[in-house]
Amino acid sequence: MAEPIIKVSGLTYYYQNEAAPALRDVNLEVYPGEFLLLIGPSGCGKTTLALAMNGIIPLVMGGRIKGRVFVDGVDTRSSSVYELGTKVGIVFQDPDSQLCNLYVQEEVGFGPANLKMPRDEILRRVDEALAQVGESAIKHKLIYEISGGEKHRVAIASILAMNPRIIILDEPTANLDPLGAVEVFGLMKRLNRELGVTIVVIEHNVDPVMCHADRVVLMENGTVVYAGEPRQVIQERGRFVMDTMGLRIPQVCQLALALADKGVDLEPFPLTVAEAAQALTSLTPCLEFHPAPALPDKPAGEAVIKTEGLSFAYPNGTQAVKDVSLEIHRGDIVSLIGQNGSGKTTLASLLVGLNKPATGSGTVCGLSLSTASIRELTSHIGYVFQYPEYQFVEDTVYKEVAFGLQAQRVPPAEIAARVTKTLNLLGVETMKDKHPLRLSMGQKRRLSVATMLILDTEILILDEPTTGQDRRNIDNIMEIMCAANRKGTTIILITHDMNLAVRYSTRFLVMDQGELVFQGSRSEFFRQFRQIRSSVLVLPEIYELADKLRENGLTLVPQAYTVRDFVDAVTLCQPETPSTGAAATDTGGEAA
Amino acid sequence: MTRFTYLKGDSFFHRMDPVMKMIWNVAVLLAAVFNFDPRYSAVWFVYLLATAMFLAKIPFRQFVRSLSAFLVFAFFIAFWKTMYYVGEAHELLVWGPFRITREGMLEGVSVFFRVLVICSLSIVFTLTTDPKRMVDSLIQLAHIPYRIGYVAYAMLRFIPLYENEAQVITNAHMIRGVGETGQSLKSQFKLYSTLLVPLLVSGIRRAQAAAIAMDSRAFGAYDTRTSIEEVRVTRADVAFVAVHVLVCIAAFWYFVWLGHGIRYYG
Repeated sequence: MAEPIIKVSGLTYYYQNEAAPALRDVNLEVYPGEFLLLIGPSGCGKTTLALAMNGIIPLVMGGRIKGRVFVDGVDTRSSSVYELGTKVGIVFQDPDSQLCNLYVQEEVGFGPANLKMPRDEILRRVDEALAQVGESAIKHKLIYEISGGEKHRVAIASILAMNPRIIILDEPTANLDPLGAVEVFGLMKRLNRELGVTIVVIEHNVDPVMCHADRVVLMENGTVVYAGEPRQVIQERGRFVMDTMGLRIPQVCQLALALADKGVDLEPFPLTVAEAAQALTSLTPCLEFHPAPALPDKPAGEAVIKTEGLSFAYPNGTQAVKDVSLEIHRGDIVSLIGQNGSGKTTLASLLVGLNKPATGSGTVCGLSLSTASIRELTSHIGYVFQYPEYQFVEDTVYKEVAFGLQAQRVPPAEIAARVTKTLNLLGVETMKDKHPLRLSMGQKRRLSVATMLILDTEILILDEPTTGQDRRNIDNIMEIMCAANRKGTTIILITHDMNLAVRYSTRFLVMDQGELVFQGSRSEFFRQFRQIRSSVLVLPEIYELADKLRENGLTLVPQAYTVRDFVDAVTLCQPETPSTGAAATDTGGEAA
Repeated sequence: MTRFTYLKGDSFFHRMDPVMKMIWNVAVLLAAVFNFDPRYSAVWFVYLLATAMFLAKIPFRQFVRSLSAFLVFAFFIAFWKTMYYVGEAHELLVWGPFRITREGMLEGVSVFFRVLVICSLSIVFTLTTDPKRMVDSLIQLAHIPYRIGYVAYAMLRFIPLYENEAQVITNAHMIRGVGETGQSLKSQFKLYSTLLVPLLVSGIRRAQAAAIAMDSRAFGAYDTRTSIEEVRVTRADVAFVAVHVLVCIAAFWYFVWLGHGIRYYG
């Protein structure tokens, strides 16, 4: 094999004023032209490692470092950040903080201009980079005029303009909708194939990227624990990745692992829907499908939310919600989906009274949306914001949870009892004297849920509960939501994570450009899927697989919404090869 | 917001180099204050009104809307001058503590127009100047270090983000019941202090992220950097500004040096 383009050897790193190392004895080699996927739980040191690869650590950030990082054979410590910037480009998670210019053209030309390249060369690179990401049209626009997806592509273009041989993407899809994510990875694959750019992707949402990767690197507790080809990693370590590390793997991989436990081995081990379909089709003689009887849609309870022709426009003229008439019933888990900017959050803001409808009317638990105050509405409906930090108002976890009850003037003894109970339920009781902002990402998320849960509202809205969270955190939150739901709480999930929506919700609302383009049960949603006007809808892999198998003539394949649905329906009638795990063991491990 | 922010457009003033425009601004400002004759100030105001209409192509209504913000102030100061003229003067009306004099009135009118002149200048400037071009021009023509220029960029870039963030945080807090507990000073204080902490935390985080992103793209590699858009000072810009500078010097020479101007009415 060729010489590695990046070589990390024995790297240990402590951030300034931190006692615990962020990286511990990391060894990793990245080869020219590779497409590497780096996964690991939140806070395991992935981003730190990325910063070490382009010299920001330790050249800019300081801190204590042991070991070496070589880029192109040169020790980063004896190089400069500017030099390394031309070799290793990083696209950071939040596009808003990394764009520091006013106009798109300046942003994309920023790096080359810093390197004092001639103006003509810069302009040529700007045009080329924008063409690569398909955004030539917005060259002269202001950064704050363009959409989130456009910002993200501009951030990528600004790295491409530096002509780096290595591009690192740090959670590129955290703020993108599913189609945007597919596009970004497609672009990276093209750069990788056509121009031989080495790609390193750090990502929680692995479904759209696993199939592109040449190698998968697992990180935990600041160190690399395993690296190998995707098939091999998942086949050998898939269970470990899901259950011990708490990460997601693509649904078809979960399926293959679960089927292997049942004694059905898919050959070759599939990474994509097409591969899984092929492997399953070739096994058909010995597979039997016993579709579980379709569960009837849950009967609708009384309507707790009802709107009629609801519309709202922002002062700048954006018509964010147009003529929305909907009904949400008691005891349902409803997913409100739609692409970024389709009006989901604005609709939610109308439901809790943060905005008042311009026209139309609506009620929440009998209260009119036009006249009820925020306080009246929020005594029936809780709202967990996308970024937990925004909602914190106190300086300890305990006070934070107690805050809502104090505002309601509940007696102190009762407050103490309820707070302790809620903290226990969410597993944050040992943190009760800590400052909320000092918690980990997952803990902050749970705390923000706790502050709403304790109020025992009839309805709870969760805004993008999965953003930037690993699977374990998401599962934790959703378990709590389901428990609340069993006790009768109506849950509204605002999300563009289709796997999550399909797994948990009984009903769907789809928004597109401010309009409600669909409302109905899960089965209706899938039946009408292709007619629904929305660019955000990407089918869960497992549903696509079942679809594909039926197309291949396996008419008995049931509709499957989750991996478990599918696995439960399959049995092996004549095992071709003797299998060790023939006894149907645990088939869980369904990722959200 | 739109009262005093850059309005995209195409006019002589929109095209003019911002640093040249600043020089024009100062020249007109000085020329207008060298003489206290109210007719003189009024002429300058009318001249600026015409400039705004024809050379800067600012819609009349927009101009008036921006100017109206200062009218109260202008009236107040003119009223004050009229009422409280100190010194010998021709009394027109005396009523209790009020004393309206001819000199006071003339001075009031003069001050009124002076305030309007100053406001018109800044309106014409801000409405026709893209802040980005101004920073570019300061870097390229006035040789301000580009690192300082980027501080200005960062402010222009991030202020709308912070405004938006502050709104989201306020919303998040309102849902939690902050600020609704009462209108007392204590709860109002709580509202702002709870807003400040997350805003600061995210501000610091954003600044760090921005700094890392800039360093990664070689910001600060050299003492200068290529300017993607070259600042162009046209002959028309130079001629236009030169005429005004000359007028300014002439006004100084005639009204101040030779003393033909009216300093105040005595």
